[in-house]
Amino acid sequence: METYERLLKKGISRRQILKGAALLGISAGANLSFLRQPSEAAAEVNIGVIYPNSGALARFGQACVNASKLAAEHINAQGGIKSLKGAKLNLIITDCQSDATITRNVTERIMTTHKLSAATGDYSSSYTLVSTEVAERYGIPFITGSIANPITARGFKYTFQVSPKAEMFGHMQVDTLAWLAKAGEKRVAIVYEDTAYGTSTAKGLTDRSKEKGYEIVLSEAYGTKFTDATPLVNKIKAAKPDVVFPVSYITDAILIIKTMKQLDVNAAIIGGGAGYLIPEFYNGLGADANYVFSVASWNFDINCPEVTKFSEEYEKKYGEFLMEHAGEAYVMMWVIADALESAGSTDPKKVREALVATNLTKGPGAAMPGCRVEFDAMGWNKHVHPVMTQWQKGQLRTVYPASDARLKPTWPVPPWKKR
Amino acid sequence: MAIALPAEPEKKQGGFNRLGNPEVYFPFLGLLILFILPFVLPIFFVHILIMIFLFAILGSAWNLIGGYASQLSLGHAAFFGIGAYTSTMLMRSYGLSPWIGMIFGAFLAVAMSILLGALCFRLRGPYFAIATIGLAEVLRLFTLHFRDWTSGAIGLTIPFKGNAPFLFQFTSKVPYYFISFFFLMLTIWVVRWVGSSRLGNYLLAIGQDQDAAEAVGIDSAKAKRMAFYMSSFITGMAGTFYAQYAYFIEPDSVFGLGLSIQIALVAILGGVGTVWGPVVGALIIESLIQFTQYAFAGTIYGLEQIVYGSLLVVIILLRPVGVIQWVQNLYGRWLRCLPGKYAPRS
Amino acid sequence: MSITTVWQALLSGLLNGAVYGLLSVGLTMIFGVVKIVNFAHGEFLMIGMYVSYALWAFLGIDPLWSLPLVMAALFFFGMGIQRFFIRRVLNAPDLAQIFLTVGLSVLMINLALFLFRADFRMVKVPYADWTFSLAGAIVSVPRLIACLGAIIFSLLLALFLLKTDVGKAMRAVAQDREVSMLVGINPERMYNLAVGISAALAGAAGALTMSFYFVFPSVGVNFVLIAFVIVILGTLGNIKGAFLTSLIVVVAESVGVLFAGADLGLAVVFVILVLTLAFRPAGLLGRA
Repeated sequence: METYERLLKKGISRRQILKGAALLGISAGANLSFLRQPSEAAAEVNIGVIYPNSGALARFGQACVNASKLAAEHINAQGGIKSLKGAKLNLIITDCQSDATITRNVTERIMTTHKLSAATGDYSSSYTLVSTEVAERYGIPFITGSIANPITARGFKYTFQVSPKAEMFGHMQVDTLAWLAKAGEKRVAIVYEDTAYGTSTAKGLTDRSKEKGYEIVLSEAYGTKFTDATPLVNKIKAAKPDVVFPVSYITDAILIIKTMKQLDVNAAIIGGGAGYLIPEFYNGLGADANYVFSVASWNFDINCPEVTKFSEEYEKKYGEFLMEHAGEAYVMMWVIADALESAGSTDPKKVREALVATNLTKGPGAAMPGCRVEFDAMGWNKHVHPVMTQWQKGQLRTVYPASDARLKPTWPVPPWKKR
Repeated sequence: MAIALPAEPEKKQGGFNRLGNPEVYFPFLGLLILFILPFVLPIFFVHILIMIFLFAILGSAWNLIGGYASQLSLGHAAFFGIGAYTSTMLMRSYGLSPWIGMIFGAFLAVAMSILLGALCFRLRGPYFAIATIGLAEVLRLFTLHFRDWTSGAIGLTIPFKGNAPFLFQFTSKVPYYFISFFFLMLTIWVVRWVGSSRLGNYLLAIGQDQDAAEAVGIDSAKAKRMAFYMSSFITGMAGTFYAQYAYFIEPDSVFGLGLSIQIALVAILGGVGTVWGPVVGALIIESLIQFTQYAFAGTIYGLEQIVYGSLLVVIILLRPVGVIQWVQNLYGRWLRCLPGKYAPRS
Repeated sequence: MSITTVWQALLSGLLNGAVYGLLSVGLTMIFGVVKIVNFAHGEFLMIGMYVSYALWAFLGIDPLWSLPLVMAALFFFGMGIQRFFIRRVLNAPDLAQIFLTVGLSVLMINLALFLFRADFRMVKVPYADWTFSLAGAIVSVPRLIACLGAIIFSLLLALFLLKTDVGKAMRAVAQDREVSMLVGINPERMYNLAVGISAALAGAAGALTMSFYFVFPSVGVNFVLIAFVIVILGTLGNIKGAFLTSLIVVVAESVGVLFAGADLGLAVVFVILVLTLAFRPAGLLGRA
């Protein structure tokens, strides 16, 4: 039954036909436009770059894209891929819009409409899980800095992860406490945002805390979109912890710390990465950011070759320090370039074989904590470990483990009223 | 892109004369083309078509309650998510084939719609809409929270078993294409059947003016319930299809408000209360989304959504009741241009 | 769970509730007068925040002093939205109206993303960290100021609607459009005013939160869903209902977090919504 047809029956009018035709024409044209392949020069290697450039995680995604672009510039400037007669890297950048369904669409699209030799992304583990699945099906090697355990637990042949695994972060957070604690601190509170990142890290925190005999006085997931941290921090305060292990993104990290100061909750804070590691954290909190620890999969001052050099260049070009995942994005581009060099071919299968055999100890491609990139049978970089950083005088510095530490940590943390 | 309007036998034309009528032979031609397409088109087009079919199914199912009965549901993702999670969890825990899991999921979705109906059928207009948003959100939040059961935000992956038809898995996209196409035809048949039945009449009456309908003796609660059960059943099944096609589900993508809005949008843009409206709407919206992503996603952040949002606004301003009439007029004109004796049915 | 903890939850719920109240009364007024559900309401808030931020960043004006400017800007912007967009779909089906505002919302969020990037921006005011203790619970001064501002503006709105001629005309249009035309009221003008004032109030709500929260393109989304629950629960079109329900809902969320978990606070709100509507289909203050 065509309700509105009946109500508005006007007979066939030329205008309506034209409008209908226009709409269908646009739809058809939209679909057919894919057939027009962008001209890809012969001396180019296509690398897919998938990050959230809009939506909730845009802040992180945009930094990762910038770092990838910078790396490609550097690689091309020093002669491109020499075994391919100086072929330059051509980044096919796409925005997964902080949405898992869109991630699938855009990954499918770039992998079927371009000849990719490799791809990288997606910052957030939720999206990486989707993109790597598509990549596996099309046989495109995918290198990621995401951390959730399922990424390398699926037996995929085309997935490579340079970063530590999620639970290692939680372990490191607790291990740091064990290393620092001198006054018998026993009570820990774990609060985490409820996406894949938060929940995986929290699992590591919970397991290790139990192992080390700490008392978990609070374990609470929360939704990042809150506009007031008071309900959450209220609960933290009531639990009277010695140390808080928060795992947060940006606004929640800042609000939690601010509110902890307001409610005078004097626990040491050992954060889980992400929001605790970005420039806004310090910009938003000022001096209150000092003394906050955070685990990180990467920092710009780790003890690996060339890190300082490219970090400084990034800071010069983009006006802010090179943050955790963006640094990894930079490193990953060099790992890809290295694999292309060994493979001597743009064929994704050969690139994959080269990645399996990767064993980098020099150059920007090895600049992950541990200073060595080599993938195990499941595609994970078995030499990597997270590092612990602390904000000191407005600077984010690595303080643990000793092999990477540039500064000693400040411990114990002075109470809010005494700063 | 052809729109196949299945033709009914025209009693005024006898025998083989019928074949000369474009209104009869063109749909068959169209169907033939659609059958061949997945074998000749590049893979990404097949993917787009599958997405179009999926949203056409979802929009049509939504149409039963949102279009015909004018109960604006902005929480249909609830049923979709129930279908997706039920079949996936059953498969992961018990190895149950998703074909069977799909039926379980669909029935669970109906159960949820029973609950919704009991709580919400007295609600009108925006009240009902917000209540449905609430329902989908509660399901999403619970799925996130009870992570020991559902894996929470980490999501669930379908174990990859290669080509396994009995486990609803295929390595090529072609089977998915045909399954979704067949599913769509089935859904359209259901909608047409409802539309021309007494139930359909009742729903339309309720949609126009519920009080007046009840005054003439229509049991509005019963009619709405029937429509809702059918709507949620189909939507639940579509959820399972999505899970098996995408191999990965997580609370935001199957229970999210954005999905609910897109489902409703497809029907509204195309034309609510019509059989082919949601199909046309799905075609246009999916193409729009893919096009804006392709053309504008890249270095200029947010641009593709600006274009998408603008186009949506423009289309709604130009044609608030949906574009189906334009398209059908166009189709009629097209049929006239084809060789043969054109004799319209009405 | 000590009594202080519960009291803190209550108090912070009340303080925040007032700000949601300011946002919600505008939303419910648009529905009452223009009879349209404005899904883009959160974006009025977002624009108000950006204007406030810009005035601070470029001219150094504290968000509280720039409030009148922000409200004026949003007033005209709201009127513009009504005149150029909403007016055209007033006779269209409800569904089309809703989706127009949805489309506008997408458009505005992404325009903001395009213009301002995804960065989270904050205003730094000297009183940002001031707190005081009230019977054991801590009160944040910026939030208190926002709460007071919200209450003041809501009261001003109530006064406007009850005591001024224009306000009464607006209420007349809300009650019965045809009859109000008979007595010489121009509904078009009332629509423009209603949307303009609502936008101004939403902008004010945004500007008031600048001293303790961030602005980013999708900030409206964080607020608007709860605002919708509030206006429905408080009965669409009922200003008093919207404000009171804001307090109830936000306190419920705050206390819900304490007992159900920080990730289920919102779920508690929705469950309350559905259950309440089951028994009172037209909201708390409506006639069934």
